Amino acid sequence: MERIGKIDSVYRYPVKSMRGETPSQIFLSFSGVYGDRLYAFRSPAAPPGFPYHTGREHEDLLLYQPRYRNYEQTLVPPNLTEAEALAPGLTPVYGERDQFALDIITPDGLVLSVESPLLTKDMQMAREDEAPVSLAFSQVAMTDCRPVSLISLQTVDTLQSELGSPVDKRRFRANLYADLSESGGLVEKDYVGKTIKIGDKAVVSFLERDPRCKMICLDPETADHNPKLLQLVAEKHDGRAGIYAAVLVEGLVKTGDPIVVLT
Amino acid sequence: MPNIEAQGRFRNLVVDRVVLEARHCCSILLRVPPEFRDLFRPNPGQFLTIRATVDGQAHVRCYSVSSLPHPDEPLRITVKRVDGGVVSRWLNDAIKPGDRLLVAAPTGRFLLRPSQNEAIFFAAGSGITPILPMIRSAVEIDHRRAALFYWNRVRDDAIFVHELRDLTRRFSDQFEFVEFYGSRTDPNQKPSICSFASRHHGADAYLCGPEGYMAFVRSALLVEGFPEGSVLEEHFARRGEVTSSEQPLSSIDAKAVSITIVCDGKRQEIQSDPGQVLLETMLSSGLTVPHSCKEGHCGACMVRLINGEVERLSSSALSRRDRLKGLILACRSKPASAELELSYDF
Repeated sequence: MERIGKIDSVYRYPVKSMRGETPSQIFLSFSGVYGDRLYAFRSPAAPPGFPYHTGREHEDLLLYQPRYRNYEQTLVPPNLTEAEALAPGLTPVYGERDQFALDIITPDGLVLSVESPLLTKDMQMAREDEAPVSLAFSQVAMTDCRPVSLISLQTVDTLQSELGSPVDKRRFRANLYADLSESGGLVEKDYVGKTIKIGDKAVVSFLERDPRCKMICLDPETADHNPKLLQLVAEKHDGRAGIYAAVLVEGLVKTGDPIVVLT
Repeated sequence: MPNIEAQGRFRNLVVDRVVLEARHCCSILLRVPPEFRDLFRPNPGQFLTIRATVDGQAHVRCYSVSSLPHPDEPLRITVKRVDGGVVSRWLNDAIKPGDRLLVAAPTGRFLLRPSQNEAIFFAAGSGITPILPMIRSAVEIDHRRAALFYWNRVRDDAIFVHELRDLTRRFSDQFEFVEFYGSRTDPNQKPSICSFASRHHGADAYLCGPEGYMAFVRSALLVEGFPEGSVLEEHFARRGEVTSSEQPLSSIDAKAVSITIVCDGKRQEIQSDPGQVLLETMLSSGLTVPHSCKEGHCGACMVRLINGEVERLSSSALSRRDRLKGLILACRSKPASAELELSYDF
């Protein structure tokens, strides 16, 4: 077993493409981070294989801030303690939709329920095609590809150095930000295929490098679009930055948790 | 069949009549000499390319044929005056009987499918111009059932309403005509469109109008269960416009599209096959340009279009804001003008 670093910060994004939040801890479940990307907007005008209305068509989505009304109930599955006490490895039951009731603070300060038709109308009008938009809810994370994403501070620093200008780590919208300063110079892409333990219990497999898109070009504070970062990632890093992971053993992860290579 | 060899070459056609059709819209009826009758026999839905010199500058524009190719029916184009439109303004304000226009043979792929399915049409404003002959062909010639949902902001803008109402009277059990007047955001529009579509399940759908309107209708049709393949659209903006050029698009050689690429202040010129997406042209020319997915999803190949026109294929990585800045995706764009200038310096 080799310790390679620690968790710098944890994030989840209750609504796909909207601003994220940094809970004190997150629960890595088999289907993704608990409470992550449970809501998404969809449009029939989007490609059938990826039917979402995202920041790529509507940059200002990044400026909307979701807030769970029952915040404490959204951190871990409601029967986690009981499930763990019953037998190791039992999959806990996920909460119902009402436990994930959500409000959205719009860029101009309005507070709306995520269910508000005003919000979907807002999304629709922002689309160039003004196609209808509807809200989708799922108990499992509606991620782009894999359940969990991770990027290291070291990878972000490299890109910053190559770009010649500051790169806010939040552009990458990862669930886990890792400080891999104990790895002897290796970064997350060097551990693809490895089994990694994070914290006391969670175990993940680093599956593959994360293919990037326009989302990393959007400033998380202003939603301004600067394509240079994606051009750099495309030209120098095969279009990839960070990794995707699959969860092998569910568990809680928080800032400061050790990251250890198992196999 | 039109003479393929002659297609793309301009012919002088005399203006026979100019008819005011609606507010800011006229039809121009053209006299076709007998030797050109086979050449100028458009299929319903096709358009003519006109070359006009206005104030000393050459312009090329495309206008839908709004007549049927009957021997007794004159060739007719219908032109809506567009704000800031040089040629549309000239055709509406200055053209008169006896004038000559340089016209290329009809072309276009927005055609009625050969089928006996019901055909339903959605038009907005001047989008009715290719749609009318398609309706007439379906109803009068093919004896098919047809229906039209025609949206305009106000009645004064509606074109061919009398002709369409007359068609309804003559073919009352075959043709349904719904007129909708209201703003783009009229809350009754969507339910009206959905109600109309729901009465015609199984039909082939044809759309022509502003891009936003067509996208709106397309989405409504998909929600109503229309298969994507049953919906055909005509995009006026994608027919290509060439200004200050002596050559119409249809006569450009396969290798004749010239692309200038600006990157880090340096300019480089390459030649392109008009049928090839820009990214492939640049890569096959040996250029190192940013790209990743090549499918219009990631946005890595985004570039600014400085000059020229492109045909944009569907994609999901461009926002309205990107388009307003003149950004395109190189992997989802094909040349639609003889010359293009692209810039990565933005």
